[in-house]
Amino acid sequence: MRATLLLASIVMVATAVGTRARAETRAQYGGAVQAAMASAPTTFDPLRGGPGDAEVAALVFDTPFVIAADGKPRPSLALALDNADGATRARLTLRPDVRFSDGTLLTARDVAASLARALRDPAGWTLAPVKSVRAVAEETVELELSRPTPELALLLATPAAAVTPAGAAPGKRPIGSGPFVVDGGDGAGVRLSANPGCFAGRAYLQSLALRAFAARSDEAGSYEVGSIQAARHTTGALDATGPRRAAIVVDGPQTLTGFVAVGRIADADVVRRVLALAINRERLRRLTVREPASVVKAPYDPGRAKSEAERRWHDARPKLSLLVDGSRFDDRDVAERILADLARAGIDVAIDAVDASTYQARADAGRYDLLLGTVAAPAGDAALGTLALVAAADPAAARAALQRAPAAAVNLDDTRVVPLFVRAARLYVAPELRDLAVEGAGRAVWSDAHWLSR
Amino acid sequence: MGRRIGWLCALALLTAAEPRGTLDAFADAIVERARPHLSPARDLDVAVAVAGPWPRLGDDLAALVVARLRGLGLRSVTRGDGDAAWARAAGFERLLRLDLDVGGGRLRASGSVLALTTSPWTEGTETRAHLFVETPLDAELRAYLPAVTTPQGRWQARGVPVGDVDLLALDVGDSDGDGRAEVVGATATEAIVWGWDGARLTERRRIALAGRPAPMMPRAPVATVVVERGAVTAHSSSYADAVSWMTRGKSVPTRGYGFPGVAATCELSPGVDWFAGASCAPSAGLPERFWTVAGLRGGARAARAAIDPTGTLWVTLGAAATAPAMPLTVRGVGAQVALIASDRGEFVATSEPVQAGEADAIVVRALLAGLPVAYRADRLPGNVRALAAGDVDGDGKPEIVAAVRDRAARRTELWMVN
Repeated sequence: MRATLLLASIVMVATAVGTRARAETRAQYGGAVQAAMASAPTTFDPLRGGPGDAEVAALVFDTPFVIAADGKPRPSLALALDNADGATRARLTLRPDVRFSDGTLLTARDVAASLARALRDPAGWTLAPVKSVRAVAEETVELELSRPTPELALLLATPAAAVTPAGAAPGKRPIGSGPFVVDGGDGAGVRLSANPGCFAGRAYLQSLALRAFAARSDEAGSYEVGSIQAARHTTGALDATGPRRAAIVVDGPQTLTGFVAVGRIADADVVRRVLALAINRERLRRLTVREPASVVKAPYDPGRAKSEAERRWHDARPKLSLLVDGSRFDDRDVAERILADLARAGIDVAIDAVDASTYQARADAGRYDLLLGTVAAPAGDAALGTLALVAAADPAAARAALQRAPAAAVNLDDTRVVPLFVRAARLYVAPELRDLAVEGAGRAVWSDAHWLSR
Repeated sequence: MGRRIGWLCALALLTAAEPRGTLDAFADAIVERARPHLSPARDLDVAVAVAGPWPRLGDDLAALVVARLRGLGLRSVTRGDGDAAWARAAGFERLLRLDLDVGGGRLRASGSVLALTTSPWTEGTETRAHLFVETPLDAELRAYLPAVTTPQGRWQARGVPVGDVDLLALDVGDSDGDGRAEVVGATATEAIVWGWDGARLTERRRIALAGRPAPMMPRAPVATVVVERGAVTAHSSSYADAVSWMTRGKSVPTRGYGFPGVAATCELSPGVDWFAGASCAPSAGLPERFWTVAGLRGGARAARAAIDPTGTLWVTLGAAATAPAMPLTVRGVGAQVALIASDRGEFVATSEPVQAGEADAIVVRALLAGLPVAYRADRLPGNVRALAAGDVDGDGKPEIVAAVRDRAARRTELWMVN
């Protein structure tokens, strides 16, 4: 079996342009919003965490470039990028007078230190072509590259390029230059308020509380009674009867890939092959994924999966655990379906649903038999999204690949990752909350959201 | 005898059960949305404030809402058209605020349920819920709205496509010294000059708005452009300085934002999209905060119109220091305003609120007491991004020019209303 899974081609349907409720009125400042997170918060570090953390980090920290509505990188903290064709040295000129939320000036030293931290960290693999970085003037950063990097602006728009003061990992009260500042938070949610000193403009909302819920019904019910104004999940019952409270559905592009990663276990290659053949992806998508989604094209052959398993393990059915982030309801639903498929193939799997922090720690350390997860395409780029899948199990491999050449199609058969489907992030938004978009990496863009009236 | 009693009962039932009107259903919907946020009911004193340009409609709706809220068992419900500070000072625990507006053939009420407290330990005002209810305008609701008054002469509107130009500001004036006016538009990055060639607008010049980056910008770009005595001055919020140029001259950086017909230069407040009156020189007669302002050119008297960040249109007639301002709540206005003096009189044009999926309207009001509507251009192919007034086609009569943009189709048309 050699199923070359060219995710990039599957993600062709995806564009980096987020959908956006049509703006009919000029935005007004003020008001508060409570909304559901994609996963429970675990950290404010832009290099770490799950999808919920990534959403918060994007609100608090800035990157040199951002992805504009047309899917192309647009300068944000940067004013210019001098990156000549074929050159292995680039110069990044920064906007002057940008300040962190504590009032201190954001300088080239902060940018250089932040990028240098990402270069040292496995999670900073999206900056792989950058060999070294240094501040050469108050507003100029010089980057030495391991290869000519025409896509450098795109890479500087990924979360790995987020700028923190002196490049330090954020603590409990992170300081950034983004549109929101963190007022507080715990394992169940994060409270943010508008950063009045944000160079790119004050966010329209005065305060934003992002919450994680214990159950899908809690979240859907909270939306129904008006406790939250944007939800990510509805319940099956509400799907059938229709919601009592009106909602606008805002879908992002299809750039979130659901996958199962095989840990460093005995016979990992056989387990991966059985997994790839045994999972009925189409059924999985139909029964568990409500958002617009495409199935990763790969052979589904449960008979062959079973014979492969029997050939290797004979009558002794292997017993594995599937690590799942308990705060992601979608993943819990998907895990149950996978369980059934693998049981038919002769592998007994137990679901190991843990809290978001434990999940993250164990995923980073590789302490799992099987791991169910979702990766977002960094900066909404489909090719980087494929590499993100590789990085989910082996960041060093993703870094090495990107160091050699721009992100391109990858044969995932050679990795420990089995992609399942590519889906969009979906938000159910109160109709009076306007201009809330979902960007290419599946994060809600809260900085542009505003109430119809105060 | 039995038959007579039966008839009497039927008559009593008929007279008792009045047919429920559209406004009743509208009030029901508002109360239904507010009810979850008004508990515990018996411990709450609630004030109901309804604002809108139609006093009778506001009064009737407020009365219906008050009656329904009383039916929920609240401790007290009172009509009171004040703000949160007033309601807190008056001892209310909740303020139900509603703003009424009409657009796209629908009546809309948007507002909030505010929780008020006098406790020193908590914030004084907390928004418990945002409310939004709408209903199609039927005969009952239309009877509340003022009649359209049409002055002599008929208004007409026509559009001229100018391509994919994301215009944020417009002005009309002679920018090249040929004695004829051109349309000058500003985007976030450039200024464009169009001239009328008898049938369409042709592009004459394009100037890049470059320079030092603005240290702080609003989230959505803002721009202004003014053509005054042959000089064009355009300023985008992306840059710290404005760009000014004369006929065939080089562009030079200047300071501040200028507005058509207003002899003042202002600064954007940091990070937001409004101008502070105090930042203007001279600042006399300008609101404390405003999205945009325009003055009347060539009129018999001075007149100025501004839209503040609540979407309220303020019109000042005569000398700013002596004449009172006429406020008119035009919620949802895209902050676009222009004044025009023609042989039919003096008018103020604004862009009006729209319905989801529907286009903006341009509403022209006579500069008379009550600002009666003189003309309304509906079914435009997009949102009104900018408004200006001037004689574009050279017939000696000024037109209102509107930049109408369909964002999805990435297409802009300049609509001329005269």
